[in-house]
Amino acid sequence: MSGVLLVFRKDVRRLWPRILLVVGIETLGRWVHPAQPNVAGALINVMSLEALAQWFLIASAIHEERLVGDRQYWLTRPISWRTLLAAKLLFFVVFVHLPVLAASVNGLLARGESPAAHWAGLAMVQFATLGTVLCGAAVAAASAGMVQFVGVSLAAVMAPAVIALLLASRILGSDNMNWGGVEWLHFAAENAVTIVAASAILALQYSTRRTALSRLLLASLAVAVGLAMWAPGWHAAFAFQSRLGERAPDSAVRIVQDSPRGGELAPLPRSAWRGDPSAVEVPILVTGVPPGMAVWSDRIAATGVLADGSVWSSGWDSLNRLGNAIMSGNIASGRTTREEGMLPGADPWLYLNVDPYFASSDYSAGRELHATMALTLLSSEEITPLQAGGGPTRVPQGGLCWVMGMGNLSILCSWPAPTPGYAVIRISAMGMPTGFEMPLLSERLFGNLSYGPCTNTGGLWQTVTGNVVVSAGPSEILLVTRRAVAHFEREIEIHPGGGQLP
Amino acid sequence: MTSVIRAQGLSKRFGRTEVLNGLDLDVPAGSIYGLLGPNGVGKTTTIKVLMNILPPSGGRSEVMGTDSRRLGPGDFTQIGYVSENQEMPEWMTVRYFLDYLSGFYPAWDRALADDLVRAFQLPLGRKMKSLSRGMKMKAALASSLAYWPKLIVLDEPFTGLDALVRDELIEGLLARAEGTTILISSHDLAEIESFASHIGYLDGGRLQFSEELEALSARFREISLTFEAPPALPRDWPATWLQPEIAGPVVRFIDTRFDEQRTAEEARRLFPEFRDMAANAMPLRSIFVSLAKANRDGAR
Repeated sequence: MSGVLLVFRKDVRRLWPRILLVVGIETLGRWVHPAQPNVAGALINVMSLEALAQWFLIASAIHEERLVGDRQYWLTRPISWRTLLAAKLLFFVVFVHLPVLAASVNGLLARGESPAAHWAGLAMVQFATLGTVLCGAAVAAASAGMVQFVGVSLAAVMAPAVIALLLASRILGSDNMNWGGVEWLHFAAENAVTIVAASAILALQYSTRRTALSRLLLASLAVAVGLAMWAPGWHAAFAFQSRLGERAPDSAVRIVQDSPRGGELAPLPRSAWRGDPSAVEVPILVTGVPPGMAVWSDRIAATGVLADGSVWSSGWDSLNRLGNAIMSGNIASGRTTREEGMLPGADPWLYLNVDPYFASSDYSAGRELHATMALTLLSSEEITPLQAGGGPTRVPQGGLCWVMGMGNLSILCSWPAPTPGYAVIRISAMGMPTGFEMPLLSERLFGNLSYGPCTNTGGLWQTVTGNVVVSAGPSEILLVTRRAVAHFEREIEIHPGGGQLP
Repeated sequence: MTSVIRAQGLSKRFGRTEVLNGLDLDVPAGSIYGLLGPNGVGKTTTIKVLMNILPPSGGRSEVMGTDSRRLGPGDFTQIGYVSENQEMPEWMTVRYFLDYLSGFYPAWDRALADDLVRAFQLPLGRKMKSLSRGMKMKAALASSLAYWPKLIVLDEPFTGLDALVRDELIEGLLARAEGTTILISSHDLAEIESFASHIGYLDGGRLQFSEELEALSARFREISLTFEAPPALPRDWPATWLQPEIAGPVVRFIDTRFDEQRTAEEARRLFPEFRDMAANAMPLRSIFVSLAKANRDGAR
């Protein structure tokens, strides 16, 4: 029997109670919860323990042949570091990766979904798990026992990462922290860096047992990953995403300034747009959107040139949006607000946050404003009636939705990735404006919904919830979903007619 | 005679503490080499550097012709290493421990392993953590002899063991390691003087001497010179004559390079008037005490 199998078999014999514990948690988290999210609230806590449980098992396996110290019996036995490392990796494949895969497949089967249809999502889950496994293994390799493992995790990984996060959040803007629909690519890049770096640290520690250096590298990795959360590159990720989608349907979409509706940059009251006095809105005209389809605005980069030649650029700002003036938002007042990001609709607008210097400069002296828009084409809407108080309702793209409560409605939907690109709940009830739309996927508005084959954190299942209070029982609850079909960019030249920006 | 272990100018530093400082060592093939020295002088560090458990800070060493820094799994199939502070897999039974290790050694001799288990009366079904210290050492030794290693390295193997267990270990070791090179460290000469063929004395970070036990015994003598009247010690006292003392008409010292004719001639040169000279053989313990004292005094 090869050395790898000898070590593997020995580890199984030694660690089987811990293996059962971790596999049990993985099964509960990935199988039961996606299938029964309404009854498994308590299991969410179990699910959150999954990473901790995996790290516990990983550290246990690594510490069976501790690398830190000089008294271990195996150091003078004919066991090569490659054999040892291969045995540990085999252990992780069998007792971390395979149970995660099996539980994920079971979760899909329990929902009547074909695993083959979600192969990319399953692969991404394995990829995410690999990052967790190798990072845990690298920390364990640089620690002498469980107490030290926790200490090294906190001192060499958590602390540098938190410090990097705090520094980056002060120095850099928030836009780079969340890449919206392409955040899954951000996560994938970070995870790839983690995998490569953790593999290098593991190889170094196993081959040379230079613990101090390994810990230093771990801390460096933590700082790098912390800073990488603010890594620029959103636009590159969006461009990559656009290559993955369909290309044809978006070709006819045109966006131009709608001069007849004003033609000027309208000064906005402070309360109208995020309370920012430097915000402007531009009336626009959208044409060429295929019938029934819609366009979602992801980010917009605006560039301004003043008469004196000074240039201002917003970068790819998630606060810059296209939007419709429709009924949405506050139920009690029922007032009209802008639905951010959705086109076409009534009176579409381009909302921009401009630089205060640019905004306050002499408008009549002449200046140019140019915007590049990153857009996503959404499919025709699919409408599914939901039943209040009943069992789950099957919804498009393999999802299930529950509506709980009467006056205070709690709506929960769960989809395997890829999720719909857009989803709202449309409710008709006494005392509510007709056609009130509740954005179910609050993550949609805040940019956390993934366009990729997995969720933004590498998971397979996206669970979203929404709450709405209605005075009387709703007469109709509809789930409206759209798929993300294509991603593309358009440019617009804004021609101000004169006046002074706010 | 070829050397199985050879070190030249070996040094090892832990932070600012220098434990080994230019250590030279030769362990001849087939010898039972006792590495002696007081506690804390670096015997364990020397062995760990030789076994590639710790990297040296300087110098070089070879074990069975391989640079010790490159000692790997292939070499360890021919080396048995047992240390008093070795961490063993406490959860394993003795049987599983031996079975597990047997898979890593192509030359593992199951019959020899069974023989060792019987000789050491090892309780196969008991877990390592429940074994006494002596039993653990026996299990470790059995697991290090069962593949006929060419080199056995024992680091303070008898520390804390009673005489009976120690004798059993020595008996088991010698009976099954004939022709094998053995390096054994100890701070107590009495533990190894009965079977060691070579002795090295480590102090001050380097080997103070290293030679065959018989030669060592032969060159150390306690010399007594008898005079008519109490003499005075000459200024040019030989460096190889240790611990001189005058007790009335008798001068005593330890000659570390004893040769009957040469010692008598040198005594006559320094003390023309001495009446009688007696040279008494010394027990090894006394030799080491003398050396330790001489080193300590030299350090002052």
